Amino acid sequence: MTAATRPSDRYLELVCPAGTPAALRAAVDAGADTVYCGFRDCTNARNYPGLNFDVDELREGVAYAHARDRRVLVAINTFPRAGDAGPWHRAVDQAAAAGADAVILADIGVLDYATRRQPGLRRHLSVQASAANGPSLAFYREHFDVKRVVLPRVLSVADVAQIVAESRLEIEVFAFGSVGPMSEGRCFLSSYFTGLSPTSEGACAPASHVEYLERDGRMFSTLGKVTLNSFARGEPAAYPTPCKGRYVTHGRASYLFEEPVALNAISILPELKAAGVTALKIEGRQRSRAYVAQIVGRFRDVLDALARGDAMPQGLGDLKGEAEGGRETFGAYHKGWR
Amino acid sequence: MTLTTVDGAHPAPLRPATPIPTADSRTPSALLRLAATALPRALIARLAGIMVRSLGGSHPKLLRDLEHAAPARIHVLPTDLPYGFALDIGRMPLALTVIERDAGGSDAAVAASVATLIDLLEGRIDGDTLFFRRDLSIAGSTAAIVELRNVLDREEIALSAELARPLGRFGRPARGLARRLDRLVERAGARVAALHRTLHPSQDADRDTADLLDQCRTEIAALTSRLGKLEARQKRRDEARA
Repeated sequence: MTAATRPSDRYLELVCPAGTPAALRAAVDAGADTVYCGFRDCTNARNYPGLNFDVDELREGVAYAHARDRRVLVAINTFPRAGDAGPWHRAVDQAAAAGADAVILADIGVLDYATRRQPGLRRHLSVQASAANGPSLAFYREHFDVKRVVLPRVLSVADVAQIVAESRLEIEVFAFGSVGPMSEGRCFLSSYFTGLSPTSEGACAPASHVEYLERDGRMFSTLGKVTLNSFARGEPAAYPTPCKGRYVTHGRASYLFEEPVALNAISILPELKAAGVTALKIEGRQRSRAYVAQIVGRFRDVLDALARGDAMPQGLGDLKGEAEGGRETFGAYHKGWR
Repeated sequence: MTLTTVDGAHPAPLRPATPIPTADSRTPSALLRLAATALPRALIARLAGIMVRSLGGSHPKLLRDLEHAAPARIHVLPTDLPYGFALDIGRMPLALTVIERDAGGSDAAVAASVATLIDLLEGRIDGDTLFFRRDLSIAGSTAAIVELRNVLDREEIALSAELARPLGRFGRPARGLARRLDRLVERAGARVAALHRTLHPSQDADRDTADLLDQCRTEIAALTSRLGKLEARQKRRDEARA
């Protein structure tokens, strides 16, 4: 396995998650071109106990990646609370001091701070900003000199191609992880169950409010004491998020918003390349280094094969074993509901 | 590659979770399970204490993070052992003790086979994947379990190295010997299991029937859900036409 190191050499840049320094090393070793991570506080959208980086760990992670010609991005992608922008400003300064290659930002105020105070630090627009059309992206480009945007997961490949054509920005899209068919950065479902905001506290369905119970041979998942789902023995389980709850309507329990299924775009990478995409994002900072190594390694092998001009390798695209609910989908890339 | 779409049929039962292979460093889980079953609990308790002290020497940051975690008593319940362990985090010094399987007083509990728990501890397998596949179950404070999982995943731990550390220069040959013994135990276990299946075919049939029933229930639920969606879609179309 070889990892391409210069953007011009790359088929598509592989941007991979790291919730811990060990996961960062695993991602780099497995062939990530770029790793993204966040600080151990409310400034990033994966604020779970025991996860994320302190400043020293980030500095060491950046050194590890740079020594191997890879890049590190820092996600500061939640929204400051009223009168309390300090942690977000501090995070931008600390990312710059640690030598990060870019910050991934969502809030206009944080973007403005980074533009003025750390002009040399590259800025990417987080998916949490939910920017998905030409005029919106032009605004971020013109006012904050944003270089790259991470697109929401509600767009078809044709939509993505259209945005590439009109945005004049690097486009990053999700390639593996949650389907996420919500208005990114504006989903407050979890806060109705927990009283905590996913967009400013940094955790959807925080672990402090989740509980699992075994009853009558079924496993029940609850969030804030509300039962979200139940699973028969052996039935694949889902994350305990409100969007993946089974709700009873007209006497029938069903998935109203989203079924437990993972987005996997590995077999349509040539389509995304043809659409003009620059980078692929693997989701999963909350997952272990074993997951990171497995998924990144698989994408690396496929990308290297495609870069050599080989046909799509057979048998490498199936990642159901690591997928939520044990199933995969192309999500909105191949929209069937329009 | 065939992908199952959101509206597709319910998937077949999942394959067992497969850890990332790292042959040389693999801890002999079959041998450990055998030893854990055969050895007196007092000795197991002493070994648990030795392991915690050894981890403190080789992974000081891990110990520090666990001692500074939110205080919790977590029961670790290997499903193929007659007893469990209680891990007290968020206190100094960290404590790992042997407990009865039905002991009370925990804030959280995690249960899986010995081999799975070792793979998890050594970072060879993903906890969420195990959870999706129902190869691991948790109860009580999810925050405590998530914190423990994340803190452990920060470190590259080799359980066999920790257990062999007190043996000093004999540790390395001891680990090699343990790996060979482990392969023997694994093979012997597979033969015993095959013999058991031959002698007690009815138990397997009962289990298969129960699993099939569960699969049918799940399938029916998925089909009912899909039917509901199709009915709703048809109703919307009819209303639009009207």
